[in-house]
Amino acid sequence: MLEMKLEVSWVLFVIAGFFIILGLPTGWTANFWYWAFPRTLYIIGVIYFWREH
Amino acid sequence: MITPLELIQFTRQASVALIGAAALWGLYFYYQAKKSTGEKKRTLQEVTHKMLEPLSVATVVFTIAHYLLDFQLNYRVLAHEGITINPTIDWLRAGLLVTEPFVIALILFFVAGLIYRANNKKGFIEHIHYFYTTILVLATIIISLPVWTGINAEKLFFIGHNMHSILTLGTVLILDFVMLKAKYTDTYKKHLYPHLPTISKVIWLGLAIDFISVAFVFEQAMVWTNKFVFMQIIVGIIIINGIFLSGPVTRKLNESVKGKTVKPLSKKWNMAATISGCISIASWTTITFTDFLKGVDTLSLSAFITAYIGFVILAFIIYETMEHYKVGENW
Repeated sequence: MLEMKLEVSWVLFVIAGFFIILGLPTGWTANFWYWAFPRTLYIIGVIYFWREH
Repeated sequence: MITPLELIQFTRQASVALIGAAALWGLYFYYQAKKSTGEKKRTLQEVTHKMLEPLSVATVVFTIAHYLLDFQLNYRVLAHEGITINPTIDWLRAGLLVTEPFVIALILFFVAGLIYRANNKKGFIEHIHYFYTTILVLATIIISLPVWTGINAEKLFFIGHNMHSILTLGTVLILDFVMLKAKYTDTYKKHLYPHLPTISKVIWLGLAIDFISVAFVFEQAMVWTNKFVFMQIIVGIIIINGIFLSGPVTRKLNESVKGKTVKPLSKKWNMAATISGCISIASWTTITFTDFLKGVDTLSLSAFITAYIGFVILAFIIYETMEHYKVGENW
């Protein structure tokens, strides 16, 4: 039903979202490098989104 | 638990974000209209001019909130100064002092613009880009300096952390305003839907600016509270919902205007787009509002989530009521 066209940006957004959520029950987000990892993926995703659209 | 000061701060922030976003998108549609011809040009010119409506409402709300904040901080809170040393209040006061000339300039320029428009509407529309540019610059300065901490890492954090509201909360509000108009007019659908990916780009960029700004203060500002966990959950929801809105929903809307006639969305897609839009506006409002709440760290996570779900349902009820009364049809 949902038409999903695979784009690099969305893949990166999904992975970033997954790691942001994963960091909460595990408490890993309290570490700067863990906090920064999904956000870096997100920022790369934004760059791709600008290029893809 | 929620103090008047926090409510006023939020209203001030949201209204100045809307002023900035209305000016930004007014400017964007002005230049898009300039590149276009015929019906497309006329429609985009109309949208450019229409941005004046949210801008005007937001300026009135901002003026009231700004001077209420001034009153709260410099008269009411002053009485407690000897009892509690609260650096945030000092930063806020310094921020108000630094931004005051820009606030006065914004109000005067806005009033002067409206007077000029009343006397020479054609001339105003012709030079509307100068009006929007000035308003955008002033709103960006005001929103970037809600507090003044001197020039340090905190300052960089506050600039990014507040300025992004023009690109996120403000832009989402403008998007809803534009979609309300497009809902009942096919020419608007035809000429506005192709700009939805650009609007999505700007919202994604806004969240990225917020992430970068937090990096400046992460070590000293990171406190593991339920409020923090809740905000992270909302960020996750914004990203996942954003993928859906900027992806399948935007594509579906653009497909509907590709042919000679505009095809209405199916009921399923219409409902999906409505729910997703409500989640978007409720999430951005929640995240901006919660940011100003200082005394809620002890609230349970379930209380935060219940309040958030309440916000989403409220957004949905408002939307459905507006649809029932066809708000925007004779705009």
